[in-house]
Amino acid sequence: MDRRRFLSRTAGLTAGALLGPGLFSHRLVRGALAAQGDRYLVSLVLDGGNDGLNTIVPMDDGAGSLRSDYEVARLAGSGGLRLPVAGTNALLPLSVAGLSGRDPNTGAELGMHPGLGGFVPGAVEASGDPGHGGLHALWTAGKVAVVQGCGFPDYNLSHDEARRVFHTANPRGLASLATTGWLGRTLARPGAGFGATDVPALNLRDSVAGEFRQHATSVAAARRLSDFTMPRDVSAYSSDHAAKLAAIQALYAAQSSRPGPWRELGDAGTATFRCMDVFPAASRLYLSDRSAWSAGYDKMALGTGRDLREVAKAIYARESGDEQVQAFAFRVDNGGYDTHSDQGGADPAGQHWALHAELGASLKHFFDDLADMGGGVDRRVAVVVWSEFSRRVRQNETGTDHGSQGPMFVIGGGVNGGVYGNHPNVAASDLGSDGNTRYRQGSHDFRSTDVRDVYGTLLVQWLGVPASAVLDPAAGILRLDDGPADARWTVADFDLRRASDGAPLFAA
Amino acid sequence: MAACLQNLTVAPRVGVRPGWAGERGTRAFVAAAVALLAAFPAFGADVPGGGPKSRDCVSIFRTDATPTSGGSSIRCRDGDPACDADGEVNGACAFSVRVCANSTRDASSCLSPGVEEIAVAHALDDGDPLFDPDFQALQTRIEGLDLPSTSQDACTTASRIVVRLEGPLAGNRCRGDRKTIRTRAVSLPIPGIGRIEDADVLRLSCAPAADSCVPTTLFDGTLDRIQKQVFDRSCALSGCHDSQTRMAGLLLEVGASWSNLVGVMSTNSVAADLGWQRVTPADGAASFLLRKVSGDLGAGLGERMPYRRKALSSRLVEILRLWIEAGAPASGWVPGTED
Amino acid sequence: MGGEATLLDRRAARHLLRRTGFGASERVVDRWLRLGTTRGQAADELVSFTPSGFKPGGRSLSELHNNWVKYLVKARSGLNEKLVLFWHDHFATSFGKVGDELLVGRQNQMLRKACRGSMVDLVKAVNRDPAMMIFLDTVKNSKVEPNENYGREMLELFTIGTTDLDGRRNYSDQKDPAAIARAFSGWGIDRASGAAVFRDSRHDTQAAYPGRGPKVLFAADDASPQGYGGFGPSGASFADLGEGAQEIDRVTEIVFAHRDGDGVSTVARRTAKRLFEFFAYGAYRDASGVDRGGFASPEAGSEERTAIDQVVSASGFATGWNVGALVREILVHDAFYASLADPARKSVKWPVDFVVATLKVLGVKLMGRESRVPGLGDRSVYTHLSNMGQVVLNPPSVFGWEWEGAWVGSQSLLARFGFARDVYTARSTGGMRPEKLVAASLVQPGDVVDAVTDLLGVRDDLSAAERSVLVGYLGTGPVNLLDPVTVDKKLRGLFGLVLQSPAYQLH
Repeated sequence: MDRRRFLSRTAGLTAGALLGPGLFSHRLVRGALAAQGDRYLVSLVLDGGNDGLNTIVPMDDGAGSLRSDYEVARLAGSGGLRLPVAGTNALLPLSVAGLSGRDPNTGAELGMHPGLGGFVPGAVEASGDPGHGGLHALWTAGKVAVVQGCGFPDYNLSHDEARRVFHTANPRGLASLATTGWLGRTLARPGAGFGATDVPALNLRDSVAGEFRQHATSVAAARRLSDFTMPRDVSAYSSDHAAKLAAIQALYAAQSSRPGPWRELGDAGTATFRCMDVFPAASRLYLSDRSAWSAGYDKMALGTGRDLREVAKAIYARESGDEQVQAFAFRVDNGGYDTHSDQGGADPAGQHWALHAELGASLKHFFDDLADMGGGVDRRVAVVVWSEFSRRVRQNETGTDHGSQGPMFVIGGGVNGGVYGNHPNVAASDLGSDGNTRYRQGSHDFRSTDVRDVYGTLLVQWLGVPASAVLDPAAGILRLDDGPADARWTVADFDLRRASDGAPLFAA
Repeated sequence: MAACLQNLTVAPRVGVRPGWAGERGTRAFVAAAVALLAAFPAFGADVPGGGPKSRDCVSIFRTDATPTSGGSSIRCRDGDPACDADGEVNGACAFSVRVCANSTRDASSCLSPGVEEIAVAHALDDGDPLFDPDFQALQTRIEGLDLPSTSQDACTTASRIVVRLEGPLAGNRCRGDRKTIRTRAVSLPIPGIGRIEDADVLRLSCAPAADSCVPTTLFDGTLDRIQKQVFDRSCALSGCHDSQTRMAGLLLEVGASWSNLVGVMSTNSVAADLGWQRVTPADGAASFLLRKVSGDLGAGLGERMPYRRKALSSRLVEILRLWIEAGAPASGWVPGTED
Repeated sequence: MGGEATLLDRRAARHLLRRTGFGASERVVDRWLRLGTTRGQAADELVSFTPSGFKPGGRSLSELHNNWVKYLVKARSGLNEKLVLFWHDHFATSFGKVGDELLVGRQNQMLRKACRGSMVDLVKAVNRDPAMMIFLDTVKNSKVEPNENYGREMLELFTIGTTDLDGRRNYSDQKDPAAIARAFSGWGIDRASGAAVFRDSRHDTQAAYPGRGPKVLFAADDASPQGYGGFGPSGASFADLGEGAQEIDRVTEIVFAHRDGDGVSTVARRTAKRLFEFFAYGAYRDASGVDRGGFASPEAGSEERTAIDQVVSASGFATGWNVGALVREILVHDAFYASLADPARKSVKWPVDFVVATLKVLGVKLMGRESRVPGLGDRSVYTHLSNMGQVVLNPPSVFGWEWEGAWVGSQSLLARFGFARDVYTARSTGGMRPEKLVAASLVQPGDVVDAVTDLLGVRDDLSAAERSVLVGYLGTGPVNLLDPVTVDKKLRGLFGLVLQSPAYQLH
């Protein structure tokens, strides 16, 4: 990557009315980004409630009865969702050379849904295809942490309520945390260094996601980087578009010295125009420099892949030296996981397979793209994959209803790949009255992993941010349980460790 | 002046077509390639789904079964391999349905340059009483098409739409049932015309096979029969006793219904004061569920269930009573409920 | 300085109409000026509306939402709807949790009918409103399992607030929400009719739960040995008229009798403050950059506190609780007109205000079943408002929406730009007809700019520099508004610029 080449290509786009406030906060932002080691974080949601029990699946009983319990709940035959341990489209084993794929609690061997291998009929099939091997290939390369049994204490089975908890990291409904998201608080915390006209985060969706809510700095939201343009009149008046754009920029720039809400609007406008200047240029740069990689995303023809390409564009621009691109935190949505019906088991034409294949192939191509960019950027990107809840342990005729705890993934070159946390206890006799796994299981040794443990570990180990600044232990958030300290369902000091050898989630 | 403005903004209609025709060679090639790649299950019939021909290309249905001549209905007999994808006589027809965007079936009369979105009716679990998870599953597959798209004949993978027979009713007869899929597809804007909409309908009906309505064939046991014949059909519906709503804290989906009913105190305070559980094993009179479905209710005990829907048949109420009197077992057949 | 006898000038009249409705009708402004109308007379006219019985209906949130927005455009009394929006935000209830179109629609209708009557009656109605009972878990609250959710929000958000203006706590966080949960136990919804019912068997009695102590509010706790609200260390009993269904209203009456340290009603002060923030201005940074956290916040000057006490006293709100009377006193007060002199006290328009006023003033119609805004985007008004961050009937939480600066992030600003684009490019049926809005006889660019900014109500707020930017857009020479291309390109473009301008986001 040639920084001078970038600057010459985008000259004229980054100049203009924005340089004033942009330069002012620039040093602070540089400092902020450098302090976290120029690391990136992508929050990728499997929206609708991913069936965790068919995502990370016991392949045997180990010292317990996990596989047997699984087979009671997940049926074979027509409409059945049981994933086989052998044969065609069998589970992809987690135990591979150099990695233990055992459940820490029971010792059961675990497998990954075969769709996560990234097989997309007609698009990702042969070994040369982009995305081939999917998430399982990333796992085998040691880049995937599977964090089992993540969740929070009391699910009421509503999508909205569960999303709210994952966004705010506030299962107890504390007023002090209710209106901001955990990543929003990360950006807005005192000393973070992001001002009102800075844009440190980008949501690849129509609106800013709940996890980014805050008011200190700007968070952009759009489906595509090229969408950051002034909505325009029909093309017949294209010359007039430039005149209108210049006028509207001047109107917002004129507010910088005015009081009260004028200044605030001016700042928001400046941030918005900054996005218009910076993001479409980043998109063009990527498309011209990395056309072969871009074509790979097109060949896969997967929505999540195309969203991740936008993330790759922003990262590439920053890595190429465009210091106007500040975004280091991203949000990507992969919807459709509300599989009440026709979920499909080990069938490449099934719904859950298609969703998993989309996820797996997209992530694989994304990380291949990053690795090819050089500069070790693939080691500085972490993707955290979550879903608002898992699904009912016992399947219905062809699908699954709303559930509770499920697995999360943390993916990246800087991750110590492996199994973290315990598989939930799915024995029929140990389920809650709603037929779902429990957060606390009394005498059983099935400890859940609280979602705040995962967030806290990301903050401390990855972003170098004190968890207390975001998760607010002063407000009582760490008092998860009224029982004795050793029965609390939280990891000490937000420090998730790999079960097999106690390694931290992220390599130093 | 208004007339002048009209002329200014409406592009001449002919402007739409040449681009379409000029690219046809390439498009046909692309279509062939797609067809080859996606060829693993045989293509069945195309169902344009109604509406003007000029709009049919936006979105059509594609099924493995053959529709009635010229219509948008498929009639199937349970177990008929030509239309029932599970091929078994099991009290339900599983229709295999795809939705295809930018169909080239009748490209000559088509105006659309591409598809912006396709929405299936009643596919959103937001309390819609007509919500059907099969429609939601179809919508999810449509999301997989990565719209907006100009790719021709872009089809979803096959989605299973299950139409379950009603029954067995008295005398072990089953009654046919049907589902109607409605989609609304919106094209990308056509210069000078704007977007066009293609509203399509596909009716799927399932009829019983002769002498097929045998409970022991259709169900695993009494609770399974109650689950499929009562709870799934009349209770665990969007806005009622399903995951998202969980009315009165009662969840009647499979996997949760037994533990939500048996030995659980009623939340209705009058019933609770009388000591009635939702299902009190071996005591029908003290089982609130049985009273709710039979309408045997006094003051303060609320409405008969299913709420504002047709009452359960006397045979189904009887099956519930027999199951409860037998101790409400989680599995196995209670005498008198298997025929 | 002025008072209720001050004559309205054009700026003040427009300000009054914009804040109490959606956009200013020049017809009304002209009439007021012709007659020589005072602030008091105008306020009396506005407040004397007959509450409408409109109830939004529909089969989904978006239908419900769009039906209300369509009604906002055509409602006879803008103030009636502004007050419904105020109370909807105040007693925030989200469709997302309630999930019942009928109950949410009914609550909205209840607020519409009760919005300017007695606030005591309003709170009593909200206490047993079925949508609210679902939203804040009153339906789950019983003697066996008390649920404090509603009790806490009733104190913190609906009535007295956590603290007084000086930051002193108003109630015991340990005891009082729990006490209210006891009073409200037994209330639920009759599923058949959707109406509130009281079930004695679920109600908490002192005899059954001696361990929970006497049924009192605002008694002393560790933090305040003298108790709260001026009731003394033993607090006020809400079982003094007997136990049972009547407790819910006794609680409300006691809460309304809560007094600040100086003897002034706590509910009256806090409500006046909220209404000032809604109608006049809220949090802002003043000219010297000092952050002023809301009307009469500890950082604010004493004149705002005086204003609050003046309107409470003049309206008799602390005894009569008449919301209309209180609003009337606010609408004649100098503080309400402060932004005319001090641009720092401008307020960011709520998205719904931005959208509805624009549709109204420019005569744009929402089209079809999905209430689409005609124009290039062809999106429903629900999509537009959702992108801007305000889906009415579905506020983000019980705290309602966050006002002022929170409305204008980068995304919501882009959403406002997009809505403006759709409006100014709407050339099809239902769209804006610029040639009907601006006299074709205007020739000078400056005159055209003045006409458009006047129509959209921002002419007085523009700096000379901003005006010259707009004039510059039209060009140096004379403008020919008889030329359809000029109208279609430049006049529409000018409307777009003004709709997207900083000034138009404020009021």
